Amino acid sequence: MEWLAALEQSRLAGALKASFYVYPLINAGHVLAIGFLVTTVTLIDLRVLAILPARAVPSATLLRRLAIGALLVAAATGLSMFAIRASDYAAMGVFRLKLVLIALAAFNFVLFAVLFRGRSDPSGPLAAGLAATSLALWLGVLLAGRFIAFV
Amino acid sequence: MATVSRHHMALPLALAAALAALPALAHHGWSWTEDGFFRLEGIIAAIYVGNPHATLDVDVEGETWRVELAPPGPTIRAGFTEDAARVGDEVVAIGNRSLDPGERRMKAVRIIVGDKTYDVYPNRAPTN
Repeated sequence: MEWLAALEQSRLAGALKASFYVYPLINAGHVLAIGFLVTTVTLIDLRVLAILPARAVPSATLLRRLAIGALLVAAATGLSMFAIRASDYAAMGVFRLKLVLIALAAFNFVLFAVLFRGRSDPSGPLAAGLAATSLALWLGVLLAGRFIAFV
Repeated sequence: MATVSRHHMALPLALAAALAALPALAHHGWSWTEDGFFRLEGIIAAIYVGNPHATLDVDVEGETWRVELAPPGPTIRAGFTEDAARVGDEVVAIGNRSLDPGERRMKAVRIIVGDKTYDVYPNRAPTN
């Protein structure tokens, strides 16, 4: 597709393609952001599932902000790496699966935030169901992402 | 609650099924390749020396093969840069073919262009 080819021809892609340091650093930034994202999401979800006591986790507001920040960094670093070989990645089933899982996980995140807006410590079957779905989805995102390099 | 539980059991299963079914870039490792050496001869259709891995697209009697090389560092250290060959050059790639016989893909340890030999994975290159 044309926009994928254009992305591959972009200056960003050109710079990353040939770099010995920048690409591994961007890659490391992606891993770091995912570490933050999965950790913060897991803490939020385990608290909602009542597996962690309230005193064991920082405030949900703080965790949610960290998660959103980490997602943005992961998206920026991910897009940079995607740009280098955009058409190849776009053709990969596992890459497309990862994007679908991210969309579902983000939707789940927003749904939770809307449904339980203003509640400091949500609980109950619906909250627990969404939290469990969140854990499964973000873990799926991580696995699909890692498999991009191996399948 | 019961429906939700079934849903998140289904996700990892769907993921595993999707992973098993799909071909792709195959950057890392050799687990996806055959053990014995495979030799491919053809005409270079595209050269890519960059992150995360260098690749050649090789035309063999009208069919395009994807030849995976090493990451750019080792590939360039072996002497193979984007200027080492041109589209249209004849190339011989020696390495390991994908386990999937329907997939036109291999990982090369050695490529030969003209009278030049480039061992991009010197530790794995054939000794003869």
